[in-house]
Amino acid sequence: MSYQSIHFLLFTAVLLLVYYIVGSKRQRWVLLLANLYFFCIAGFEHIPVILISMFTSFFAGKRMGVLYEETDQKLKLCEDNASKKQIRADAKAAAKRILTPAMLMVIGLLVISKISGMVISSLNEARDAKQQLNSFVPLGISYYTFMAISYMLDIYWKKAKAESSFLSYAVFLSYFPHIVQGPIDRYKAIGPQINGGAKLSYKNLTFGAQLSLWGLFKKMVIADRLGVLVSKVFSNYQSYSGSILLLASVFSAFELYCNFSGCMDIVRGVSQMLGVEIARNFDRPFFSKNAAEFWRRWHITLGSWFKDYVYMPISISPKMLRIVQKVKSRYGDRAYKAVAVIIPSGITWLLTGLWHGTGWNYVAWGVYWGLIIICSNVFAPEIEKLTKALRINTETQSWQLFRMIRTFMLFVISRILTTPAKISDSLGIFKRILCNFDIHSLFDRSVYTLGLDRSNFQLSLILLLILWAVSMLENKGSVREQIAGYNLVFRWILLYGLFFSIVIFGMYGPGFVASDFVYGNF
Amino acid sequence: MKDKVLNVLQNALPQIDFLSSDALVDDGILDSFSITEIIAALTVEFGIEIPYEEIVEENFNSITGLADMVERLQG
Repeated sequence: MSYQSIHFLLFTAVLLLVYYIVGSKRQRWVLLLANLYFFCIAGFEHIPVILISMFTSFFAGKRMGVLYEETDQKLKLCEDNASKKQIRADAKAAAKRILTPAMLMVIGLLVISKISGMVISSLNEARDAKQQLNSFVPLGISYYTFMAISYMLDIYWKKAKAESSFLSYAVFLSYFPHIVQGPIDRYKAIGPQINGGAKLSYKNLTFGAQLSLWGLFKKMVIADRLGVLVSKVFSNYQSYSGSILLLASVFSAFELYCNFSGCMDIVRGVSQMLGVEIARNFDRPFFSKNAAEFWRRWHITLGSWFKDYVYMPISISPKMLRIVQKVKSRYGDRAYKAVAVIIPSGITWLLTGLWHGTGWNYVAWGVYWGLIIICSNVFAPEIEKLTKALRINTETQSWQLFRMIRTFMLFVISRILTTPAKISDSLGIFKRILCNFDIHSLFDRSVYTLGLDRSNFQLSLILLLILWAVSMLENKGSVREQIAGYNLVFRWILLYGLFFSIVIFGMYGPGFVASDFVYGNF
Repeated sequence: MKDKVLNVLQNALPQIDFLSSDALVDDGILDSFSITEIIAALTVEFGIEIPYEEIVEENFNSITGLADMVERLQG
């Protein structure tokens, strides 16, 4: 069920009605049924896989929780420090014996589903159209696997308590607003909200509806419009000049942002109407001044997941610290700091690339971002010296603007790596941008022949300006709070305007099939 | 202990003013790179092993929190 479909709108309306009629004690059951319905619509075959992950992670968490409670009891009765240390070590070893098979099971399901998808698509390449095999990727497997892993690891590291209610955990893991494209929520943030129940709130309903409406606008009016040009140019890149390819790449960056963040706004809005605040995944990323900041503001929950469950555990593992110590004693401070950044960052970015896809273009994408972040850390002193030598005043607004544009262009380059299906096509696009730029093709009206006619092309530019203006407003705080401060007439004009602009300018109509959400098949 | 920890960290990360805030993580003064460097420095200087469950904001938000953690792990 697509989030922009009438089906989803009706589903949400009925759900809200039932959810607030049954009262807070039965709301979890309503949510579970809603989640189940959502999965059934996608196909019954999606259900067994999430059930395995759900049971495995819940019971592993529960057993570790019981184990740690028993350990605490033993520690209370024990006064000798050496014995206490032994009890703690034994508990940790026992918890590891519970955690390891559960993690292998949950991660195994993800790896098998990814690899089988890859094998089937490569087999299909060799077959003709009539003999194509159906590939099957369980709905939301990348997201609920990561949520299940974080749940188990948080309990193992004693950063969170195990949930005693299977119902609450089942509602969380299969929660329909975050199952298709994320965000990758943490149980410790969502669990108490699910357990607490929600009371009907005018603010939650109106703010949630406004956010969903804005998300729909970003997806249907901006992303799908830009996507027409991007698909046309990238599907036949050999026919276009470098300047047109660069324009399509810039549009592709905005398309991805509006597509993905639009979806996040829709689901966050729906979830807010249900009284559950799910994590924010975007914080105006195109205002970032460097790559590290960009990744703190783009797909935030994926970045923080990798930081907490991959980067930090590797960085502070005894093995890593031993390597770092050796390097420090042999080669000094500079080398040790470099190694401390290179190894964990390299592994994290390679895995982040593979999470996005298993093709070589995704490996290249991971290496690309990894190298940028590693180099900006390792060579920070040289960059600072160079900035001083060039007498650049880093406090000026123009310098900050330059940094933002530079970071944005780094992102545009990464789009060229992943938008075409093959790495050879990406290299071909780079080659044309560098060797056959032809800036005149931007001004000879050929841009109006790229799938968007003159009025649609100009509308696209106006929409990007609106996007920029809203982002500037966000700088002053919540836009919805600001709207709530305006008088009633202006508020309704704004909302009607947004609604009718989706109806009028939305990219749909007879025969039109709205494109999928980009992160929907993970 | 507090002075000793401060001394070690000022040598390892001279660009950070550890006394400027009691919310070093929450204020964004420490990021994951600097936290890694802090852990490496404390591990080497005090011969302790910092388990992952100790990597929580309250231990890293201030020099007092860091010193308390080192003391606890030494004991």
